[in-house]
Amino acid sequence: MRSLGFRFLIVLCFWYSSVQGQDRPYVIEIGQTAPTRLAVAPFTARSSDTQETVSTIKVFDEVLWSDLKFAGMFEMPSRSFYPLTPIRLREDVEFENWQVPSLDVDFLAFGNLQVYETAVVVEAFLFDVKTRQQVMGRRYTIADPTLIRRVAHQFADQIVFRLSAGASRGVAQTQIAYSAQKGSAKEIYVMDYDGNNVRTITANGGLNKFPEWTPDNSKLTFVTNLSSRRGWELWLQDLAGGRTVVPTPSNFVSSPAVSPDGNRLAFASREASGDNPEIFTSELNGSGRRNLTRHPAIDASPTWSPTGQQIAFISDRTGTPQLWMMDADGTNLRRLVSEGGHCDSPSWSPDGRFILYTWQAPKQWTHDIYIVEVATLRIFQLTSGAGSNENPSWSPDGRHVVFQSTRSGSRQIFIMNADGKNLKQLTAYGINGSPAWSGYFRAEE
Amino acid sequence: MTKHFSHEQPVQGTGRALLFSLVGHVLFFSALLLLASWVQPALLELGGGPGGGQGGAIISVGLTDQLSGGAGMVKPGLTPQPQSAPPAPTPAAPAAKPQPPAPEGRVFEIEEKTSEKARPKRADPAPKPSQPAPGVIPQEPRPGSGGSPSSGPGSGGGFGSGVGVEVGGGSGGSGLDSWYLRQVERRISQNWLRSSLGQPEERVEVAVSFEIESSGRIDSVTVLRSSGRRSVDLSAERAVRASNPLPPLPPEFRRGRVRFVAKFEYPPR
Repeated sequence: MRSLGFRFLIVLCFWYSSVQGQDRPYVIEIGQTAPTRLAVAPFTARSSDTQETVSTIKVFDEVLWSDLKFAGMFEMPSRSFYPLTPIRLREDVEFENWQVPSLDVDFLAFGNLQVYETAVVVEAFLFDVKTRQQVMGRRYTIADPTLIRRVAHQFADQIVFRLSAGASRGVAQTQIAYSAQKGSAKEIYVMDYDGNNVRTITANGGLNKFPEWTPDNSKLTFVTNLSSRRGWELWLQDLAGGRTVVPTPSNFVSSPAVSPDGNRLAFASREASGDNPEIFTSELNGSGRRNLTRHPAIDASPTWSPTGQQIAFISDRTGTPQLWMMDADGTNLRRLVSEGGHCDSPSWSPDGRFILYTWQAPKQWTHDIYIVEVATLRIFQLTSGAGSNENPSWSPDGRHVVFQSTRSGSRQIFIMNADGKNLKQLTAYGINGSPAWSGYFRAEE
Repeated sequence: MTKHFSHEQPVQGTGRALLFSLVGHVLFFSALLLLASWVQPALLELGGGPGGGQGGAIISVGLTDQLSGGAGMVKPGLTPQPQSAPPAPTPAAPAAKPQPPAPEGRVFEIEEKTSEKARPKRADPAPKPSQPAPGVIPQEPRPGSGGSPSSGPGSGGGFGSGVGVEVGGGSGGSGLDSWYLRQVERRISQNWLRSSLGQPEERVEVAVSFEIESSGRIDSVTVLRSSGRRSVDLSAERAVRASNPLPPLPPEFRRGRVRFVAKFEYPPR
């Protein structure tokens, strides 16, 4: 009896201790996330510090740093906290020195570069400082140092892609088309997203305005008024050369936009018999043209939703220009903003959630940039109190906005985060406007 | 007869006493077990040392915690506000082919192109540990929590002292104090990177199990329950691995390894 009781007790004790311990894990809940802290060590010469190598490294470092900084995705502690040991290869990395409290970075980018007679070779790495594992390693070979910015942009995009789990492919390799005043003419130009590397697209001495990219970035569409001809034309300019003049119903045409599948154009024009602008769509060659609005008011500035199913546009049918949307066949008309004042230049976000537009409040002289959330019609203001801000356009990852502003005196082009922060001026000379951000330029791994 | 009777009597008496004792003990143990699962934290905190010592320990937990809270707050969200939780289609993972092999070292795949396979079904509730609600972790460091354990010794001491001591010692040996648990929690949180989640269109939940050796080394990291998105699973796994090593297990903790399950949830409830 007694021994039975004891056994029972022992069994109970065992059961108890097993309930208490071994079989049951401690459960902790992780509900908070932390920002990614990234360090980018200055690149080093691979074999010898030739003058050309040193100056190329300087450009590479600056471009890489500002690309990653502008991505707005990372906390990047000041380089003054960095360990002083130069890093050429993984063996040179003392991981514990990158985890001291003043740095405490999660990831470290580093690498080496050498300018040879016939080529420039860049080896670039990204390591997880905490797990000490390599996240990425790339070798780039380019023909000459003038292409070094492209390598830096590419590496920056690859880092952004990796560390954002593909949420952004990075905008460092994207470009911005815009219209610049040249004497009495306005010409179309394209520049890198950071304002560098400006290329001339038109030089016809006419008025070339409102450029927009085709989804594959191979062409620009814009409207042109040549002095030799009467009125406006709708152009489709191939960046590799050659252009198409798209037939329009009349010699008034404005604000074209290419559908996300790249097959259709939307633009504002007048019927040959009419005197008010309507929204039209047509194939890229002008065939299959349809008037979607057929309303005596002014309808203009169409922008496609990313699915191509809807078009948002500006109409003054209620008295003042306001933001509306409709299906791409002209049905299901719906008003998005009803604040009075003047709305203009809508741009639909790549994820379809938001529409950027500008708004001039009643009795005000300047425009500011706003976002309306399509599903809820909630409105967010992105700029305020600094000049007139117009013609906004989304970056392809939907995290940034390019626009024109008079805040610096003359009309110039700026970019900022989609929350209005991180402002950066891209152009400084002349008069520049109507910026349009390209799509992604290449698939990143 | 009487002698026999009187001889018999004690025997029966002993049996009954034993029976009573047995039933009593069973009841007591059941009660104790129930009690243990209710006031576990308190019992665990009672652990090794006398109340006074623990009181001191608890106060220091409070202090550490304030520090940790501060450290956590330093890190603000980075994402642009309108962006913060876009439900709409993310730029789908591009059809990119792997680049030529990396010059050296092995490539740690943070994200896989195929991460968006099979939309996660609505995640079912958290993985159930074998027993009911663990309640091991006191959610909030309460300065007053020093008071609650006092109910523990009261009940433990009131009944048979030998058993009480034994159980008390057992739970003390197998329980991790909340200070350590919160260290683990904090370290892993600091390594769970917002950007590595991509743009989750809905709530994500991942459970990762791992073991901590007495030296603090993290081992046997496995995804216990997947979120359905590989990138999210990897981000949680990385958060655990990146926290290695943790501080050594507290000395009063006798077992060599402890098993943990970290439940990751974003956005937090």
